[in-house]
Amino acid sequence: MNGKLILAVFLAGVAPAGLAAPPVVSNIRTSARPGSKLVDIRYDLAYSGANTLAVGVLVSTDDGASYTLPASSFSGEGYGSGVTPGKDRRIVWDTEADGNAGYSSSVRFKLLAREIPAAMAFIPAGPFEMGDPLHEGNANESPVHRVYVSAFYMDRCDVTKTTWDHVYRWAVRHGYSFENAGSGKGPNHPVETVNWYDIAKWCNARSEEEGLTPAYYTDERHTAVYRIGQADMTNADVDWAADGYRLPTEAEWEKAARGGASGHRFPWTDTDTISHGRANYYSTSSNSYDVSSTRGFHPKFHDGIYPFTSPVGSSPPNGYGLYDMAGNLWQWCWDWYDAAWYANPASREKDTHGPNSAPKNGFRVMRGGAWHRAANFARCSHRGMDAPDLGWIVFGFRCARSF
Amino acid sequence: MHSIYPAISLVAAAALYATALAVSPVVSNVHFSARHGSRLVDIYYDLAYSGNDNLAVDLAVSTGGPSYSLPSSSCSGSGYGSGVAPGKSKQIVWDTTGWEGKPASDLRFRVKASAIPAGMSLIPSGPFTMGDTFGDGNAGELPPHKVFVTAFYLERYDVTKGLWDSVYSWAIQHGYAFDDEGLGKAPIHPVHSVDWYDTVKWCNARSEKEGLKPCYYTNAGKTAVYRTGQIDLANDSVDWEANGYRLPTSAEWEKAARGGAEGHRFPWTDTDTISHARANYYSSSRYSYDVSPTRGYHPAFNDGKPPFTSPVGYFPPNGYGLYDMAGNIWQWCWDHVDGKWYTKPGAMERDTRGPDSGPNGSRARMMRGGSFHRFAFNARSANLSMAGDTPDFAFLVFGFRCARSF
Repeated sequence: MNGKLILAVFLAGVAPAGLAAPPVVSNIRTSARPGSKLVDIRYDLAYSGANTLAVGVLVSTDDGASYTLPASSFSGEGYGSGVTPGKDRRIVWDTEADGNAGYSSSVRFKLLAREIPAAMAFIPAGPFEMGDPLHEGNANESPVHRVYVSAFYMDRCDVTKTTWDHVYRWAVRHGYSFENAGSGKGPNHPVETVNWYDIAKWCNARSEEEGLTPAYYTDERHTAVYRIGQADMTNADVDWAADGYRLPTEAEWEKAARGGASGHRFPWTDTDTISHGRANYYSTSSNSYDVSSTRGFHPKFHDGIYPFTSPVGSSPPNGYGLYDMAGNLWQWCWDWYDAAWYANPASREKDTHGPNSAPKNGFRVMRGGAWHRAANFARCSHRGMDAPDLGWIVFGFRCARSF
Repeated sequence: MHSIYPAISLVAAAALYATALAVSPVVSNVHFSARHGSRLVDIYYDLAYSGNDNLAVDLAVSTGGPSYSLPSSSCSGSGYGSGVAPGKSKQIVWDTTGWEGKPASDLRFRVKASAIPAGMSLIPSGPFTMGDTFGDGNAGELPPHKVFVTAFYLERYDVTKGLWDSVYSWAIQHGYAFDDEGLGKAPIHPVHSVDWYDTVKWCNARSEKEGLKPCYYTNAGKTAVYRTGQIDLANDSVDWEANGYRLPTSAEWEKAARGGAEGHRFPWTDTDTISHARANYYSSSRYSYDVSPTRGYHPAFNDGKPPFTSPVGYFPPNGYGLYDMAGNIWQWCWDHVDGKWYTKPGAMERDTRGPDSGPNGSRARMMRGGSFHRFAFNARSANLSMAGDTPDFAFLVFGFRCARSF
């Protein structure tokens, strides 16, 4: 035995949109497995609803003062997404894989069990390698660096014109104002011609309409919900713990795009090449890894009427169940754009939110490439950027939510 | 008192460059004299012409050697520039201030006259300051540097969809093949969705259709006219002397955009601000010099159906009579893209055509002038931000206009 394990049990149970009773965790028991660095965590999970559940673990090494240990080496049927209710759910923590840190008498666990919001994917806590692993991209994608990202949810698909319109109509009746009404080629196509300010406000409106806590404020005390105008919010203006909708950070986006794998060029792992069978982008012979048999715009979506977007989810999903993380529309992210950000030590901080102040041109990051851009823009590490007040036919987005 | 050097003047009659069938203008009896007690030289010539087109006259100076490359541009007089009327004893006054030499018997002058092609403006010979003189652009626009650009013609308007179509249909019946058919909101809107290769081949087709000499060849020997495929032409694959249509160089484009003035942010000179009354661009409060009362897309052209182009010539012209040199649609230029080009000696050379190839083998080519969907920042005459793309990419914000060598 490696020492005593003292447990503090916290029950989690936020069931945002659903009316069913939230999942309840009880009867947590832990034991260190003799002769190994493994810890078994057992618990009971009660839930009567029909939603898929996700379970995460927070670890404290200071008797519960803070739960910030960047632990991620968890496994077992009781961990992650798709945990089924029942007795004796089990999580195995590999303390050695997490740097041997924290396995002592002052260790505390917090188990979080939540309903995965409809149409969102659970992205588990853990580190990933951010940046250009193949050393082929722009200078702003290097160096590759490790970032720990806490668990969060991400929309499986870009926000569609239908979803946009629904929330937009609610919002304009509830004190919101936007600069662009949003366009879309069809109800199930992603909304485009929206600017960064529009979508930050729209995220708040979506939260308020669903009874969630908004993430974006025009003050650091988080009292004034951002609903109108062009607010150049800083990281401190965001309630990162709120359960409402927000834009993913650049790090969250890239982690999600990689689908749980590392070292790959695109959101898939069976090959590092791309073709129109996998994404809606502009194929050219300029990139050796672009092996599409059809060139130029995607022939299925190139109908002569701009933009040549595809209905969301037209291509296979990645390892996290996310669609269109390569191509279709650029996806606005939270962060201000700084070309030299990856050389800044702050870019390695846990849950980095990007630069704290605006760059000279005030640009924000966008990721994923687009229907009109070549394969190199669709690489997971490629960094796009533009002005936050520009609404254009190649800009869309999807929402994240904190776990 | 004049010191006269009549016998030594060299006469060069100019060829007819225009499409008209009229006889070429003919220059004869060139002689010159240095004006005593000044740095001025008077050049006289006779000009015969029976056609109806406007004539333009340019002056080239040799200091005795075989090349007429003295950068002389401080010329005036009724016999210089555009709109010269035929007649005897036409006069050009050359102010030699700044030239180290002295007028002497070994000076040679070449007076060139040509009919100004319909729909084009003469951009006279001379130096201009290229780059960002305000210090509010991007790094690639620095440092501002002098470039001497020899006289050339530039179209007053972007190539319209109507013009594009008429040449395009001729071209595909005469051995040309394009990547894109070209789109346009209406016949008098600029053509869009054409890639760089398309525009270069189209220039050749337009030349051949009008009986002019094509500029673009697939070999340095300039024997094989470029008509098909995607070929990354180098500077030596171009016949820069040919009288046919071609893309302007980036230096030509910027000189033309500035309209003959120095130190201004936009193609106009009465103010260094911009608004929707002057150009079709995306207005934003982010730039203090963007004073438009209407923001975002131009309200007259944002009909919800991209692209939001305006008909060519909707806004007032600049000092050279050129329209839409700020906004509406990006204009493909000849040069390869190199973000550090202005720091290289080649950028300062007379009639620079840009780098022979892009950095790291990049094939990207330049585009100038901004677009209906970009900011006031990108509509600046010096702008190099987002001002380029790969030559095989056709998009709804890419158009062009043609130049012709003088």
